[in-house]
This record gives sequence, structure tokens and C-alpha cells, in this order.
Amino acid sequence: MKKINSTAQFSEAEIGLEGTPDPRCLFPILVDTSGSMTGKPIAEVNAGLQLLKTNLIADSLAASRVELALLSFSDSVTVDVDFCSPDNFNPPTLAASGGTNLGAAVIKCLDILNARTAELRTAGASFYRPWFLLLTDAKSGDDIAEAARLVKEAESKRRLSFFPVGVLGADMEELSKLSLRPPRQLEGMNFIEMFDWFSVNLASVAVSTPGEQVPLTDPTWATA
Amino acid sequence: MGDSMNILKKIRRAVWPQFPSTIESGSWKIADCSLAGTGHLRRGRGCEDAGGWFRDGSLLCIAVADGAGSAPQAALGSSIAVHTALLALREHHMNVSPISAQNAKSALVAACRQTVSTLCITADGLGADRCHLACTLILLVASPNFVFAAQIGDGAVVVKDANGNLISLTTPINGEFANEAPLIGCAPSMDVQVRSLPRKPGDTFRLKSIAAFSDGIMRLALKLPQGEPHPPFFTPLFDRLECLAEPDMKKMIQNFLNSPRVNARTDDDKTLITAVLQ
Repeated sequence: MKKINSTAQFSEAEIGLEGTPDPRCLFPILVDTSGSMTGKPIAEVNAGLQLLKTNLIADSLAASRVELALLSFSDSVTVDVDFCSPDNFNPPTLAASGGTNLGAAVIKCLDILNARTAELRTAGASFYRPWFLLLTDAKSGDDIAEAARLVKEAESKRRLSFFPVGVLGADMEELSKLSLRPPRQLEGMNFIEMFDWFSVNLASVAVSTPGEQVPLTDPTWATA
Repeated sequence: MGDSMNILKKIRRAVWPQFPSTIESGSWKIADCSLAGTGHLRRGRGCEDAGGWFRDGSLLCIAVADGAGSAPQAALGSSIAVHTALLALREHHMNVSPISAQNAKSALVAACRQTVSTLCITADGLGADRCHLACTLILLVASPNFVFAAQIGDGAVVVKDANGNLISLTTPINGEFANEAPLIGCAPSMDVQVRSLPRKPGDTFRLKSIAAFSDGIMRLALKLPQGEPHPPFFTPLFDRLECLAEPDMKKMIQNFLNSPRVNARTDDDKTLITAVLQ
């Protein structure tokens, strides 16, 4: 055992605070980078992701509890950033082109979410219900039935809060088939406002007690 | 709710009746601190934890209460709980029979019952719902060769024995969900569990140090869900406290609970009462 002789030799920094890992709040973001997102929309998404990071880092508790992941999809799906803390979240600049294989992308995103959950559970962490943001035009080039089944099952078991957001010109009817929660349509180019809303509301969830109901603010960036 | 503010002020102003106490071998040196969590301050709520203690010779009694987040009068509830429970133990010790290993359990149960009753009567008197004053409660009595603790809800008591072993005397009691700790004050009766060391009467046990704390620092100090003590937390904490004089212990606990490191891991109210046998 370490012998402590004088006040000068002791600092409270010697007291280890990592008895139990913080509860985790996983937030995967799945962005449609098909041709329809070319130009201003994809530029706004890139700026919005940076804002999300900055806002989450500003709240020390949220910064230690939230884990972000970024996936983008067009004809295929790419894990751009696997789950990490906001300060390690360094998304590449997304570019848009190609088709919209929405179903496969959602399934891939659920896969990495489940993998991370299992990993953290083994390490003894507790959880907030994960949030999942999908940003898309929903003009899907593949079948979304299996993705919809998985999303709805997770939602009904209260294992997932799924936030489908349709960009301008999105096929909202198709998007509404994907989840129990009705999709929102982004108004115009309100990407920045939308990411701001997610950072503020996610942070208030991440500092609550796991299981507690946290009221969300009105999403003024969207139409229902 | 002017009445309840007045009651709260009165309780907080009250000078706790101390026994004449000299620091000598076989007696306790004690440090306590309750601080509002950064999240409570941000939401305009003050500290809704309360803590208190008294000692008489080699006997030590500690109470820690955490006002329920859902309770509008949480600060009042926790203050009343600590005050009532300690007064009940003191009354037992002074006027019924001195607290010993033989009667500690019944004294704790009686003090918890008295606390429930006082919370209910106060809520009724204020015309408030009984759950408006609900809180958790940890109540502990210790002497050099025994320690008993009653606990309702979360928070915990960790002790160190004379051989340096760290032991969780009580662990957080939760409902089905993490935010559903049982509370004292909502119902006129309730089960009280009492844990003790030594586990079997008659076994030899020597106590060295005690820490009783609210849920604000639970995840820092315990390995959950098992509730085992986190040695990197308690070993340096107790080592240091054991070689400090009482006023310095208090400063250390305050500085620690107020440190940015602690606030980066918890935004809840935090109460820590530590005691070291000399």
C-alpha cells in the first residue's frame, strides 16, 4: 500500500473515479449521399455534423456518455466513423452521387449498433435507449421490408428511438413504412437547425437517469 | 409553500445537539459534506441531499438522505428525514438504553419508522401529497467492533476493517429500473433491511473507517451492479483521511466533491460522510 506522508504529496487526483462506467447513449447517424443530395444539401450536412460535435463536447457529461457513429450510403453503405466519443468524432467530408440502397444501409447501421451494445454490455455499462437518425430522400433502390421489420421490432421493444427525416423532395410515404415513429420532413435547408436540435435534446437525455422520460423540444426545423 | 420554506430554514439553522466529545483513542474523527450537483444548479434546484451525524464516546451515528427527483419538496423531505432519524437514535441512546450490538438493529428500525411517520405528518400538515417529501435514507450506527446500517433506496455504505479489507456494508437498492429506487415517506409503513458487520454475532470484527454516500457519487465509488467497493477510490481516500486531523478531513472532502473531475462524472447532488476510528 502506498504510504502518504504529507499534504503536499497528496492530491485528490489520486482518487480513482472509474468504479462503474458511465451509462452510454449511442447515436448512429445514417446519411443518404445519393445524387439527390448533391450541392447545398450535402454541404449543410457536413457543417451540421461539425456543429453536433462542438455542441456535445461543450457539455462535459454528455461528452463522456454519448457515442456517435456516421454511416453514409448511396449504391453501397460505408461506415465513415465507428462509435466513438464526440471529441474523437472526425467525420470525413461527405460527397453525394449514385443511387439509394436504403434497406441495406439501415440493416448495416442496426448491425453496428447491436455490436457496440453487446461490447459495452460485456464491459458492464448501462444504457440509454439509443437514438438513430436517418437522413434520406427515401427513393429506395432496394427492398426496405426487412429493414422496416427490424426497426419496428426494436421500437416496439423500446430498444431504439428511430428518427427518420426526409429531405426536400423525399418520398415521405415510402419513408413512413420504415418505422413506427412517423417521419419528419426537413423544411428547406434547415440541416444546421436540425443538428442543433439533436445535440441539445440528446445532451438532455444523456444527463438524465437511465429510464427517465425526457421531454424533447419542438422540432421547428421540420414539418410533420 | 411558505410554510415548508420556514420549516426547512429552521431545520437547517438548528444547531445539532452535540455530545461533549474529545478526540481520543477509540473515538471517531468525522468529515461530512453535501453539495448541490451541477445539474441541479443548472435547473435552479439547490442541494436536495442532506446528511448529519452525532457521536458519543466510541459510538457514531450517521444519516444520509437524498430527496427524490420527482418530489417537489425534496430538500425539505431529506432534511426532515436526517434530523428525525438522528434525534430518534439519540433519544434511544440517551433515554432508552445505550446503543449496543444487541439493540442496534431494533434502534435503527424504530428510527426509520419514526422518520416515515414524521414525513407523513409533515406532508399532511402542509396539505401536500405524501410523496412530495419522499427521499432515500441511509442510517448507520458504529462502534469499534460493530457496525449496523439500515437503507431505503440508493446510495451505499463502505467500510474498511482493521485488516484493510474494503467491504460494502449496504449496496444501492433499486426498483426494476435504475431511476426507481424505493423511497421513504410515500407510504405509512415499509420494510427496512438492516445489514451488519460482523455478519454473525460473536465473530471478531474491528472497524477502521467508514464512508456513507448518496447516489451522486455511486458510479464513481462502486462497481455496479454488484455494488462492490472500487479500491482505487477508497484506498487513497481512507489512507489520506486516516492521517489527517478532523478540520483537514473536512477540507479535503469538500475540495474533492467540488473538483472538476468529480463534476465531469456526475451532475447529481452528492453527499459523503466519512469517519475514521483513532
